[in-house]
Amino acid sequence: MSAEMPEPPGRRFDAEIIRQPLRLLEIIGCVIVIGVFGYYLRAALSLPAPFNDMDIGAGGFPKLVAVATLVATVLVALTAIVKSLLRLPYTLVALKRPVMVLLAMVALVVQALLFTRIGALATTGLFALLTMLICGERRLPHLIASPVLLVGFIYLVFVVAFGVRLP
Amino acid sequence: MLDHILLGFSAFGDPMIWAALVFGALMGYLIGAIPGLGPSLGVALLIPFTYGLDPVVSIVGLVALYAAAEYGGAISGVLINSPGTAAAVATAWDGYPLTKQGRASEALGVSILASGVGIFLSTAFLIATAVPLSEFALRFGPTEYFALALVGLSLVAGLSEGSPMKGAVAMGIGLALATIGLDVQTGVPRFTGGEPEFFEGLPLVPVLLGLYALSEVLIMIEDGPADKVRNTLLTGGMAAPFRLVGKLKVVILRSTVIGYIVGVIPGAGASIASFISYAVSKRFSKTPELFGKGAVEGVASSESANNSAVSGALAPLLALGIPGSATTAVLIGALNIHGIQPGPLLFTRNPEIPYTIFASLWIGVPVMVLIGLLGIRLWAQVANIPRPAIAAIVAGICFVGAYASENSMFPVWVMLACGIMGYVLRKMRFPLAPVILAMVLGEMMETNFRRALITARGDWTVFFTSPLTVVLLVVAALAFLLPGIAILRSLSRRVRRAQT
Repeated sequence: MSAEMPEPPGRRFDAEIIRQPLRLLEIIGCVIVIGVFGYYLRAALSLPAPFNDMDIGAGGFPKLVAVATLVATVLVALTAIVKSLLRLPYTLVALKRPVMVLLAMVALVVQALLFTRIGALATTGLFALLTMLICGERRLPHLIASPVLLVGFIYLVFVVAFGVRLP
Repeated sequence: MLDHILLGFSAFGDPMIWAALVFGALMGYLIGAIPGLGPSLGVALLIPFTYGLDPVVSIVGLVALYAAAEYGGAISGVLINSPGTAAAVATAWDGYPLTKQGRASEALGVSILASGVGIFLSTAFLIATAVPLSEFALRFGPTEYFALALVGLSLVAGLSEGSPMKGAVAMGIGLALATIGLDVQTGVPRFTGGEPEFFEGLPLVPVLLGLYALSEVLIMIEDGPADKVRNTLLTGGMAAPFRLVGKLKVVILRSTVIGYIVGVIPGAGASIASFISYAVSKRFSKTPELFGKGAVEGVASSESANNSAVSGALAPLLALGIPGSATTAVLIGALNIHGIQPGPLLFTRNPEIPYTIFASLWIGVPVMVLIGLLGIRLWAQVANIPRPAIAAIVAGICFVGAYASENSMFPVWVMLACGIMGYVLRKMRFPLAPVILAMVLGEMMETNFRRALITARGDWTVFFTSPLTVVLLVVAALAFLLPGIAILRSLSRRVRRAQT
């Protein structure tokens, strides 16, 4: 077994790392891609037929893309399965701080929801602070200075210099 | 051609062009010196700042950032053994040992000067090749354009990190994203879910910001606050690099040529250029045993190659409209925003664009060398900026930049979706460059594919009637097959080894 991500020297994150073989993630990913492209192919097949025999119509090119991508995806999945069956040495993928990453994703969605409601600059400052906290920053001067400087920079460049009307 | 070159230089009568050049160079050094942030992310982040600017001013700023980021990538590599860009990895192999020997200034000076010489010479190669290439490309028909786009995509997918099949899947994702919106030939809405906002297709800037910048924010959050980096004090004289560069002229010239040729090949890029020229320099060196232990030749060869690859990657972009790297794909997005379509007609319709880029690469050399040498101490500190602050700044610019691209929330949601998708793809080791390239080239591919079929009255053999098209299609097929065969061979070797 060869671990691609070496054991991190830090103490506090050890309990927060999920390690999975890359091939397992590949198989899961391929199943998702096959599902998405299966849906895409179905949508392409339902597009109107070409107006004449010379053209392939609106759905022709997407159909080719879907079939080619599905073939490539199946090959990636098959390679991963064959490697598993043959018990070949594998690479580990480390998903570090998964709770924090999920929290960051949720924060980004909330930031988008609030962007027009409480204003671009206010959300940018607030969520810059939150992003830094999620990222592990605990020094108060940094937590205050970075969002303030960011908001000031965005205001000067986008609003004052370029005249962009931010919500 | 001389008239056009003078036209390019005349643009520098505008102080805004100078401001863009200096600002782009400063941002490039900043982005390049921060480990993890590369030129693609830098150019994507700078695009929102160019919305209100003149196209020529914008492009000069973006190209300056692209070149300076390649310069800047070496700084953190030399000082703290943490290269800012992948292309600076080979630089760190010798740069960091030089720092440990107390010759940090010498290493940085050589890297900056070699970068400058590399980009200066390669710009001459760019002018010498891009102009005839664009004139040749004027004869291309739909089949050649389709095959050319396919070659660009397949080389990028085939040469990308990981397996070529993963590159193909990434390419498929990009092409599928490119088909969203109204079909340009029939006006039929495709994959829009009936939402009018999707009718014009996915906006490119938010996709770029999401895939490159926001996914990087999530990676930074995953990594958490970095351990404190201890910067090395700059030691050694600054006069030595000038003398050394004179002695290393053959190494620099050879590496510049290698870098330019590799840079022209779609998908190869600056990092491969630097590795190849490093290996070649070691092969021809009188002291190969010093490589990896602090050879200035190693620093000079890697840096001159990765910077001349910048000019190389611009050749297919400007002459054919085919981006050869992730960063040039992002540059295409920037050009499109300003209503400029790169390709052979660019040289006749908007000659001020390519020739101002050429002039800016030349004029940019002394500017960037000066900024680089004067600011060495500052750039060395850049790598110490706390990761959480960088994550917050990048995320903030992504949101405001995406919103400002269309003054609506739709691009913000697109950016968010692409950011999460980019993060997932990166964790599963799927390359991102083919996604962007396919998205940029998708419409051109489909349009020319269908146009070729219509002109041939639906006869599919039209793709095998032109010798150039056949050659390009064969190259595209080989780009997938050769790495695939190599992987199968290595797999069978590993199976045999596991069995014994």
